[in-house]
Amino acid sequence: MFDDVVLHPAGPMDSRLDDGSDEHWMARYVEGHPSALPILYARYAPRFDALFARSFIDRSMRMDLLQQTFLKVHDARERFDPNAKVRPWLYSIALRVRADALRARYRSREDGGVSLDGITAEDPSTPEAIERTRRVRAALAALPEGQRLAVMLHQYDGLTFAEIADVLSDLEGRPVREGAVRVRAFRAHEVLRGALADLADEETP
Amino acid sequence: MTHPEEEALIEVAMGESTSDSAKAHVAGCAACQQRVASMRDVLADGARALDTLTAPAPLTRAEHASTLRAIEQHTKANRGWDVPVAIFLLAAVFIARRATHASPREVALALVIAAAAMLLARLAQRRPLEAAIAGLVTAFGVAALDAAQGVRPTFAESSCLVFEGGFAALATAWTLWRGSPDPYTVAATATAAALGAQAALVVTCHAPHSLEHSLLFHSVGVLLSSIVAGAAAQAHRLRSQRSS
Repeated sequence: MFDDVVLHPAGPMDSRLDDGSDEHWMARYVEGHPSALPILYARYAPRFDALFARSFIDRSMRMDLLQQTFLKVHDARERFDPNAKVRPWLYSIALRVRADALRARYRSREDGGVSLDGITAEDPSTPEAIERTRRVRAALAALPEGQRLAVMLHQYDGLTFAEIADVLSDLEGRPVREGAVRVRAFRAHEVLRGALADLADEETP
Repeated sequence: MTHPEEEALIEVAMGESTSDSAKAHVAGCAACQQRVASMRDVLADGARALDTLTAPAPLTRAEHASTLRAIEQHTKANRGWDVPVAIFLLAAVFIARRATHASPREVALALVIAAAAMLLARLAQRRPLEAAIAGLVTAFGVAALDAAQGVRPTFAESSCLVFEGGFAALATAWTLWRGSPDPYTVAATATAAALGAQAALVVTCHAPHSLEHSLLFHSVGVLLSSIVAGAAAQAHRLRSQRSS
């Protein structure tokens, strides 16, 4: 079953990957349907891997974080509100796993850890590109967690601001409005722009 | 003229505004148009900066398959009947050994409690909190029933705690070995196992069956088993996280 989903994309499971909403498969999962977990895994594991990869380069660590995430999903499946959206719920679990791992790394490293050390330059072939990457990484790392998550979940993971509001409300334990998330994302863009202003000036003829 | 709040202008700049009044205002206000244009520049520059970054290579299909197999093992371990049935059988063995020395009522009560412990161990895999609460309520309820059974000779009172702890330790070790990492599940399973031991104690306990003894050395044993198992599972989880 698991291999059907992951190893054989042209196999019979594949047609089911696109069928049914996440909410439909989550409901089946809670009922104990054997195909539901592999389908949710196939839909979300690559996204969560990308999310973890921005903080952790080590591949075995990322596999372990994925495992932890889906085991938490499994343990919490009975508590899932059937009226809620699945995607923000899953993301909030994955982000909590990531936060725990970052905290563990922070405790184990004297330098405090760099939460974005998995991010690399798309084209690190020139010194300018490397410097630009370093600056963006530093600017992202310096953002408050709420702003960083707002901008990264939107830009890299394609979540809507409403979904990010759900995720942040869950993580922060208080309601976060969709409009407030937009403002946080905008502030993050302002910081990024400011951090790269001199580079942009140099590029301008 | 009252200009819209910054939040409303950001929505317009992002193209996500649902406010007709804000959009209408911007359309007719040069200052706000300029502000929105400036915001769009900020958003475009920020997005361009983020676009220069990319994550490392994603996990391969083989790595995903391996991860999924590990998850499958854990989730299967978490939904079996092995631990529940083992709890019932272990309790039944002890009950059977002393059945001839006990009244039919005691044996029946013990078997009913053992069956309840089995069902609670099963429930622990899906609803650990409810299972733990039900197990503890049953444990303290049983004390009242058990206390009416009469008086018997020797058995060091602390042995009852050890007996229940032994059941709980076995169930905890088995559950952790089978891969269930959730401390709540482990605690609830240990509660059910200790309740199974308490069922056996209905016929095997040689101490005077006072309410005090049943509460302190039977029911509290179940409570302690639950707490210790949950703490052990949490420590085990933290150790695993640190080592990874």
